[in-house]
Amino acid sequence: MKNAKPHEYARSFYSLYSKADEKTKLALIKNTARTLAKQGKGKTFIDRTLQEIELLLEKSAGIERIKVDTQTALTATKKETLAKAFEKKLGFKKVIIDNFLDERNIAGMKLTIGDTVYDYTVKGRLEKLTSRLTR
Amino acid sequence: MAKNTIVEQLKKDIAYFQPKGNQKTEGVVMEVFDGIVNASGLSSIKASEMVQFANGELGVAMNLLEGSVGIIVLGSMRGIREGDKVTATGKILEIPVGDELIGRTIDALGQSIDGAGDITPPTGGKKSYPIERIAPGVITRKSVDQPVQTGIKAIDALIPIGRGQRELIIGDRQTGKTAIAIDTILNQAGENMICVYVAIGQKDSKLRKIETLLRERGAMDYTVIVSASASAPAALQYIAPYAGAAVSEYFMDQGKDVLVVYDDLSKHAVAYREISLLLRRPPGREAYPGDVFYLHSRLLERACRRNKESGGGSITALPIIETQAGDISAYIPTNVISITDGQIFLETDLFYKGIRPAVNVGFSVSRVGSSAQIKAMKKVAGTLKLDLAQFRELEAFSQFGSDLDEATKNQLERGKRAVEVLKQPQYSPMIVEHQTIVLYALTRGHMDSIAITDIKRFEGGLIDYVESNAPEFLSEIRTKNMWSDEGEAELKQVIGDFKKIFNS
Repeated sequence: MKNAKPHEYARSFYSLYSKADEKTKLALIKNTARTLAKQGKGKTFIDRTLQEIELLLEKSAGIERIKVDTQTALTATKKETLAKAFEKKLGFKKVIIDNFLDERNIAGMKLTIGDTVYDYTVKGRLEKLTSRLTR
Repeated sequence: MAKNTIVEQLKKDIAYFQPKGNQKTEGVVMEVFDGIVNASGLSSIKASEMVQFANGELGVAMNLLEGSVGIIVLGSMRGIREGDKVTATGKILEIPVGDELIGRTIDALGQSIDGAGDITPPTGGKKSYPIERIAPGVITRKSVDQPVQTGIKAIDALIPIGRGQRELIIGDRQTGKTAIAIDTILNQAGENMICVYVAIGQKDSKLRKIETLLRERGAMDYTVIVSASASAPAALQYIAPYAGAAVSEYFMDQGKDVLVVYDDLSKHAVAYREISLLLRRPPGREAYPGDVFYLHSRLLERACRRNKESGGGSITALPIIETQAGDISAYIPTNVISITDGQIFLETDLFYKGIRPAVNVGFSVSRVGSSAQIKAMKKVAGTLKLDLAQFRELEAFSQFGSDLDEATKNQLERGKRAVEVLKQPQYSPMIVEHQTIVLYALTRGHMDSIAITDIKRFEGGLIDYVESNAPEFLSEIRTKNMWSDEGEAELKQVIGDFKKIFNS
């Protein structure tokens, strides 16, 4: 498995982790980290693998993470409202909102659900207008 | 465009702009190496869909695997890093097309590389054609029956090419393959033909020489050059022939006839092999991927002649393949030979013997044949191939000159004169009217009494003499593609008169 990709490591880890008892789970986590380090994998690769593992674990628990880019921070209430709206709309068991701040958006919101990005920011609309005018 | 018009157009565009949200699919770059990027995400991407990297470079999704997408980068790898975002554009790879491409040299993405500024689309807006397109169906096609005059006697007489045909030019390095293609392009002046020259993996110096020659001879008035040179990434060399086909299809869709030269498809196959191996596709014979036949077959099937109901027009393809040590039974040459409608085989031995163009008439064939010849040429060239074949058979006996009968000696002498007549200098295409006169004189025995060393001088002099003394004969061929009995009698007389002058 020397040349495996992060998602392949994550899948192998998950297939063992999901069947393991609590004691074995801890050992599994330690061994996985040790293996990646021994194979000389860089920080980006390890970060990516951990993200993939996290995604798999959350998916199996019916949890979906949605990245929300805004200009100003969302309050806890707003996050809760958004999460509930998405749970109802998209049929997920639980939605966790990860709020990132980006002043370059000017105003509006950008949602990332899985691989799909929904851009409702003013910046995105201005970029669309620019490409239309310079066609 | 007047300033007010631009402002009005901008105001209109802004007024009609609907500020809805923008949906796109994103991924993350995981691996970057040798012109290839592996990205995660992009789960809803389609095969051959274009993607854009964070630094603005474009790529094409080639490998759709579980959990990752293999992307070939259509430009520089500089500035693409692990962790960068990559966005699907929702578009299949396409190239801007239009009449404004004529006279220009562009790269495989349609950007100008001739230093003459950006290519300005017409006021109607930019038009684009997909790089990959399904070839026209059988019902929309018409049989090939109109000639493409290459201006090269050996080809127009013995291996005639028709509009809509695919004729392969194959031979070792430095045997004159590109020379034949360029001579053909030069001879299309006034023939109502658009030419597209696609340079794949060629040296920049060679391309500059070709471009300069075409410009000096006025051929750039009807030619487009598409180039992915040896310094271009393998991805652009892979796409270049398809870009050339897309440009050709634009002109064919206008009902025009197009000649497209792919120089050369051997380098194209090597570029595709490089990409496939980097994408970890399983290697087959000679390490080429399993679909290397399809690589060329789908390209060359786009050349055809269309019937009137489908818009008319044609694309004639002249693919070029370079062989190693004359081996035409190698993998890529045999693939392309089986796809095309004939081949022109050039031999190194003939080249160094001074027979240029070094066409091996025995191994060369045109599967369209005399359907692509005017009547006049059919009449004079009919027996020429047989004469040459018999000459080659008898050549081995020529060392026994004193033991041969009269008929055999005459056959040998006629054959030597035929070989001499078929020699032609580079960049000197001959119009078909002149070719028919020269071949008429040859095949009717008028050159039998001329010394071999004087054949070229006789040929040049005869053409000038007929131009001055029997121009109506030439215009009869030009307008009716054939001469009348009276015209032939006049020609015989003119040839006889010229011989007297020549011998005196």
